[in-house]
Amino acid sequence: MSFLDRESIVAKPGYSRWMFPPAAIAVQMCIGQVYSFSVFSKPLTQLIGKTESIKGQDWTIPQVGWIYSLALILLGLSAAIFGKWVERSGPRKTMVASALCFCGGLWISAIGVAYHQLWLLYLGYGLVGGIGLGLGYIAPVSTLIKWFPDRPGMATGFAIMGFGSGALIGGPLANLLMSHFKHGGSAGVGEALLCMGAIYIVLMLFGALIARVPAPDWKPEGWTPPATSTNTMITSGSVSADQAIKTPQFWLLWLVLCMNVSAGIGILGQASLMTQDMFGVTAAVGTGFVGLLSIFNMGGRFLWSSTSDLTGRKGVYLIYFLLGIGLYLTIPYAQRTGSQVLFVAVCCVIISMYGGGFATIPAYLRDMFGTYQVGAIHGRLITAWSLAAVIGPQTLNNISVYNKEHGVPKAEAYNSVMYICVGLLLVGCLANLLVRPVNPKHYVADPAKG
Amino acid sequence: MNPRILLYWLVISLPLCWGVAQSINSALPLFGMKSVYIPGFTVPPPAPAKPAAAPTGKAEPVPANPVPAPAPTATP
Repeated sequence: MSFLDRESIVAKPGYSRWMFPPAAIAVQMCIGQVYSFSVFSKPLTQLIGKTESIKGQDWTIPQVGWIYSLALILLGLSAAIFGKWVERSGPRKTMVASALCFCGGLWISAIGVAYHQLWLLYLGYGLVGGIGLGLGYIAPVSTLIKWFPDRPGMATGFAIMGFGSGALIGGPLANLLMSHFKHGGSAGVGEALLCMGAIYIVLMLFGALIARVPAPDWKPEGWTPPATSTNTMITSGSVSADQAIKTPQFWLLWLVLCMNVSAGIGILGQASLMTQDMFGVTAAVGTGFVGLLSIFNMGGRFLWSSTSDLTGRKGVYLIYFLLGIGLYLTIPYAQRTGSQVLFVAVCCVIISMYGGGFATIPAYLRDMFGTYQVGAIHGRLITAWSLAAVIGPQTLNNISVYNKEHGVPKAEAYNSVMYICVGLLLVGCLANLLVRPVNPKHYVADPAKG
Repeated sequence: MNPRILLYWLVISLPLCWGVAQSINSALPLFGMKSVYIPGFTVPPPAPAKPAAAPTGKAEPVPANPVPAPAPTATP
């Protein structure tokens, strides 16, 4: 199995660095399927009743929701735990491990559906699949940064954009497969999961196969690293993952990511319902709105992250937070004036910055801690996303539900959620402003020796 | 240009373009247009609602996902 090792995939002279981003995107667009898990939610609650959920026999929405939550928790945990192993093993071995775990998880879940065993879905999609998510998410990050030292923001934007595209592909693919395998009242969930596992493993192994790491002394043609960085926010030293979590910079960036994600989820988690309640549009229009947001979520990851190569990471996060505050405050105004166009435009920009926040953070970490163990540090930082993704939607959804139940008109029930999001962004903005260069005492003396 | 670069980018671009096309298709009702249904390519429209569906009392809660998937959007 030595062909999986990092040493076996060092690129030969003449290898184009532009061959690596497709490997990263291939893996990320598969594991990004997790974002579209909700398409299975309703069919999974009607496996016995076929056309409706039978109380006491069929699974409930909260029970099914835990499959997704478990997968996200495991994403964060596995990225944090296996980060250093990922750095040592290289992208190919990690991508293969990710493919086996993620697709294996889909197959175990298919068995769980066939035998109506919920614990198999928790084990398969939640636990095993979740580990695959974590491994796949951080696998290409440090290699991309090493291939593109001149444009790290754009490089990580490629990978993280791939993850964002997962929902665009996973949702319609699941629906297509379910409608193909639907028979005798069965929704075809098990068969769809089996097929998706088969499709995804081919694409993920393709990514692993074409992955290469640059030779240690490799540099982009015509590019020379600046002898002493003119930008004090870009370190010339290297910090290990274990040391990084002892610095205030790590925790400030953790807070930055957590706040940016939590606020974005305030919109994403309720987008469909929000348009229906605010403007009285149909459910089909609401779902279409979610589709539109997904495109901006994906595009923002690449565009904003590439922009950060010009503005600097701190600068681009300042834009996310300050512009974000203004835009969140515009939503209640759009609701009051009944301007659907303004509402849609504002939400699209907000979601592009939500995606941009994910894509910019690896480059921010590279600026702060160097490339030495940036993948492992990124893995530990992803716990911020796990926490925000699990707690954030529950809290924000409950606020709008509470408002509706206590006499607030449906159209205005989301205004307080927007004000809370503004508060979250303010906290994130403050944390971002407090980020300073890492104290050189944390640097590793000789990164080559580890 | 190395033809392998082209091939690799093509492999990942095809599903990506398909996904984007699906999302644009699902977003058409937002602009007052109907989603297009092409069997085997786009997501099929949802089945028409049963006329005499028994009232369930409460609406099913929607799971809290960060990015809810684009679901079938063609209006019945």
